[in-house]
Amino acid sequence: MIPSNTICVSQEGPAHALALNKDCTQVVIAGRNVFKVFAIGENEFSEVCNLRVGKNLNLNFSSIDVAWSTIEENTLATAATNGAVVVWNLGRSGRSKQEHVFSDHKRTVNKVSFHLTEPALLISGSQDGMMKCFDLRMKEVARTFISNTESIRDVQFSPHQANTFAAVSENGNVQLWDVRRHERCLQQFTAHSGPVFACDWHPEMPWLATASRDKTIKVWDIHAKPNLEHTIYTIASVGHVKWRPQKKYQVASCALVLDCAVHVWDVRRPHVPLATFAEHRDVTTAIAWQADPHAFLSTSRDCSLYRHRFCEAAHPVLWANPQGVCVSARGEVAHAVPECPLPALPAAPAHPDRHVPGLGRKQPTAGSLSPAAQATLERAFPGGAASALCRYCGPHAPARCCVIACARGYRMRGSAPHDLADHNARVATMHNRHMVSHVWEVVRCVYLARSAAARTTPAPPPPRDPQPRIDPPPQLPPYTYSAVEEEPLEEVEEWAETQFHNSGVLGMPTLSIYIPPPKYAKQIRNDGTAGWVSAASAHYVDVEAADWTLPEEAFPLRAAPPPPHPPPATPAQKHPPNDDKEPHAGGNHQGGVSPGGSSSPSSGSSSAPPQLDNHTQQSLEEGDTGPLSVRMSESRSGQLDMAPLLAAALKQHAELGDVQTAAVVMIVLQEHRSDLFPYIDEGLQEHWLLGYIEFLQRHKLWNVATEVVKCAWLNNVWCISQQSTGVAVCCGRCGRRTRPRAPCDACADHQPRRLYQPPAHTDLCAVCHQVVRGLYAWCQGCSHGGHLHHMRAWMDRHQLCPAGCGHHCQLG
Amino acid sequence: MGELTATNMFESQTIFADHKDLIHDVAYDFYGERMATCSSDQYVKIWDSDGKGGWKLTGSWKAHHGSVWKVTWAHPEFGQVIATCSFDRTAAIWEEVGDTAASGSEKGLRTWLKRSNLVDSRTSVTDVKFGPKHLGLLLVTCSADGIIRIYEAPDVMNLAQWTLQHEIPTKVSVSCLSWNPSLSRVVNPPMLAVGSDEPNTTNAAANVQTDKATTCNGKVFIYEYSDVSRRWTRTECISWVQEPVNDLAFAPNLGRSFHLLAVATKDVRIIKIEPIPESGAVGAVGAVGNGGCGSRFKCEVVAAFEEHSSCVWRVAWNLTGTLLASSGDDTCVRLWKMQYLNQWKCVAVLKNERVGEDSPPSGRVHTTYMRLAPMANPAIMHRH
Repeated sequence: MIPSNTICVSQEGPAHALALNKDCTQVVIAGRNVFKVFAIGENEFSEVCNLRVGKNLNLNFSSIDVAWSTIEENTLATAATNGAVVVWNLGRSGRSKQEHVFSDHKRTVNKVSFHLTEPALLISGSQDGMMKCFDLRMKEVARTFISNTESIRDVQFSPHQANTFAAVSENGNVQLWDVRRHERCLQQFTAHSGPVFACDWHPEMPWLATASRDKTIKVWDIHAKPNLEHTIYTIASVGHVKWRPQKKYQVASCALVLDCAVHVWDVRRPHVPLATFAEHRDVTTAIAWQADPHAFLSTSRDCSLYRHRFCEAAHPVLWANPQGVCVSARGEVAHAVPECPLPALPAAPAHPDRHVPGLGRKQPTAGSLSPAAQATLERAFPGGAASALCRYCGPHAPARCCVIACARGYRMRGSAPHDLADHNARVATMHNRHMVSHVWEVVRCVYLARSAAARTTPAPPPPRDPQPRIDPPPQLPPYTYSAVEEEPLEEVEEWAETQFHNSGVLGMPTLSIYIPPPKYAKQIRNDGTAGWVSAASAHYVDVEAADWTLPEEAFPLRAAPPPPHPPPATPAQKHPPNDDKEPHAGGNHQGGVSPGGSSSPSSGSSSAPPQLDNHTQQSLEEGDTGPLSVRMSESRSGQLDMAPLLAAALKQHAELGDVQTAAVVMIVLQEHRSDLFPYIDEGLQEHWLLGYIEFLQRHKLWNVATEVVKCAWLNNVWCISQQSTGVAVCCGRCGRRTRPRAPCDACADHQPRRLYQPPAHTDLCAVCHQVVRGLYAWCQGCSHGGHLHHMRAWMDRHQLCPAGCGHHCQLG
Repeated sequence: MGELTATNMFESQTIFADHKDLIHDVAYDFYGERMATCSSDQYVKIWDSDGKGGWKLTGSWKAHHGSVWKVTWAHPEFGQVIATCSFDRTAAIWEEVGDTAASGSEKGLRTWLKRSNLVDSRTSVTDVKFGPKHLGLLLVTCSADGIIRIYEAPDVMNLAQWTLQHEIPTKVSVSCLSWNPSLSRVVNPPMLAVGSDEPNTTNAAANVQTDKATTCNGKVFIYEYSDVSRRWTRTECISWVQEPVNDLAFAPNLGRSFHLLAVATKDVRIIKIEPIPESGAVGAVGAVGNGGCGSRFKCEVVAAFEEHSSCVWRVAWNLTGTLLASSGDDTCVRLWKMQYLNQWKCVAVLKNERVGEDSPPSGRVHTTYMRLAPMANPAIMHRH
């Protein structure tokens, strides 16, 4: 469970404190039920002495704190819970090592501390708010220092001025005393907003670190007037704090609650610990450095004593994610990256028998760095505390604008599908989305034929707006016979080939079905479904095919006379007889005509650039709508139906991220959903609509989104408009809000008639006294209102209600 | 459709964020008009777009007592709400209250109130994400000890009350998670992808111990909620990802039949997860038992890019799931885009030139322009 280099010993009970002897070869631990001295070996602790022996184990053996004299080899002092300060002499013969008991404090003693140069001086800090200086030779209290605070939590002699000691108390104060003068303290200042639990003098600098329940460690320069140098922010109340020897800026801390780990901080980077030691299973109660910066000991409430080696440290900074990136709905990229990235740190060679840290308490991996890498990290660590936040955006991502413009321009209902499709095709063309435009053209062709077929007598196609083309094709009446393809086909072929050569748009990924521009597709027969399907399918051009052989299955099984002369070239139609749902997955990928590229005059005239570039550009222009590639495998099934092809085309658009086309085509065709929708299951329909609605909402196109909801035929989509929607009704007479379909109570009282007749003009504007149609803005206080712009204009100039009721109105 | 066009100029603007330590996360809101940043300095900052390309600080407060790892926005239908998670073992839900004039204390900053503090985790909370809107107000957190917690606010008007609905132990350290953003419950049951940063151990004995439960070395797991059993179960373990995972993200799914999951590990990976219809659903039960991969879903790695040279930290998708941004140890953002033949290519490399230099920020806002050529061949990549 523990990294192999860290050594551990378990005790009978939890220790509250530990102390090292002056040459750091032995350690004493003390707690309520444990009091032992261990010798520190290279790889183990060995028990030297158990001081908790004897007949009457009274409260003098229950220690809060322990101190080992820095001069005398054998002298220990403990602070007992009953207020006693006990001095122990390890050199005594016999089992009991107890030397003397000072019972001068009234309450628990929190801390004992030896003078650093005078072997006989011992100081204690107690819960009763007093500190006492004991003279071990005289065995009496030399001086009593009264702090005038509730309780003293820590006392520490300064290593810089022999007779100065610092005392911290639960009211957040730090006091500096001269041990020779008990009348009043040298200095006193408020360090924290909560109790201060510990302090530690810096070994070299005139710095005092204080640890508090306010979850901070503060570093004070005590040189003259106390000055706050650094503040470290930790996650929990700090119980102990110890400067790391020989490292000017590093300090170790452990928490009083919540956090079991020991953290080593660099004071210049106050938010992230430099190193973390997470071996303990419970809160760490005490820490002590072993005089060198690479090892320290700690005890914990989990009854263990650890010796940590610094090379076993985990480094949270390596574990934390230093970067952030996000793409907005507007296409911006925000990126946060460290200004001074950490250098590459070589990992330590994997230790053969390293154990995995225990599950359930996972911390950043311990011991992952080699000592050299640790040194590098320590150097780079303080400076690495800044991120650059940067955002990148294209000036106005044109493709996105196109899609939004299309969303605004599309019509989704209100006339026949082919009219809508025609309108939408022009919208798409206008915004240079030629592939989408082609989808609309196909829809238009198909449903134009259908609507024509629905009529009993052949009729010219419904009038439609002139195409934005230079050379509008003649409006041919629908054919009434079946053999139709000969003339158009030749044209198609020729046209397609020239387009193909000119455009040089190659590398279409799939069996692209080329749907000719409307002038051909219009010439379709009027004999129902089979007719238009065959017309559409006959116009496929697969440029990959070397020879034109019209396959049997490209034509419906019907009693139609074959074309007078077969087209000289026709798509090989070697579509693999598989049920491949993924158009791109087919085997023959290479050829194909991009309808978008060929119909666009600009890109059509460009002379074959490298394929990939052209693709890239085109796809970028197109806003990610891929090629119009319609799966052809269905056509083999015999019942030549346009619906599966169209469904596949929509699916293809959706897969390429263009949910707009899929959703809007579906909405436009919803009258005919019986034939198209069997190929798109309901879940997918819902998915597309919801996706499109979300897309619109992200761009704040509320009206369009509402329109989509309104047009929707699926319950789950349609009910969006019901959610969180309320209808407010105002009394037509007095203008106050009332229940629906009832006069307000006040008016009803004045009107004795049984049937209340609302006045003709119900929603009058309080400003212009005209009927308000549409948005009625009203004050919720007095419920008077009117036209939004009138009310706004009024409220800009006035405070009171325009209706004259005297209310101070708040609009909106 | 929200993607960046490589043939155009990219405008690069440095925002002087004034965070006192590393920024760990950046998040745009639903509309892309607000931005939240969080940092190790325990602060969260909110930036509002002024509509003209500039960003203005409108909120800044100390959110946690430890490094704030992630920040995420709720759907605006629930108000201006964000969630944060931190090293201090908590996740918090914050709501903006009032308007600038009324309660803005200083410099026009708005007030964000802590509505709730989720303290169930006993270790660092590594990620937090709001669930898809159609599932209600859901929040999922994951922690370093590998427990995924799903909270729900039963009353969306009361953000102070969150009930812990599910607690899913994963037995490995979890670093990141992502909801499947699928908009329709009909098509896809609620689904989560979870990434683990558990280091790979060389110790064979340890492997046996830790992986006894999983029998799969993958670091990415798919969890699905079953309406029948009312439980979240692991239905997939993606064995292609064996390295510790730093981040993952589902692509927004606007009607695809499959899901795209981007994973940031040693490289950028895009994994296509395709539900296997009907027959696969029967095998779903078996998937839990045998831990085998691919019984519920057909997973394949569509792309893997080593260009970041070392560690990849973050991945993010655009609105339509057609463009992937990734950020790695080379301090670049790389944009990946699907080209024809379903091939993903790098279309741009964005680099903030100030990073790595010693010059302090000269002004508050620093704008540069860079021209990025379309990348025909991603192998030959120019640095900008």
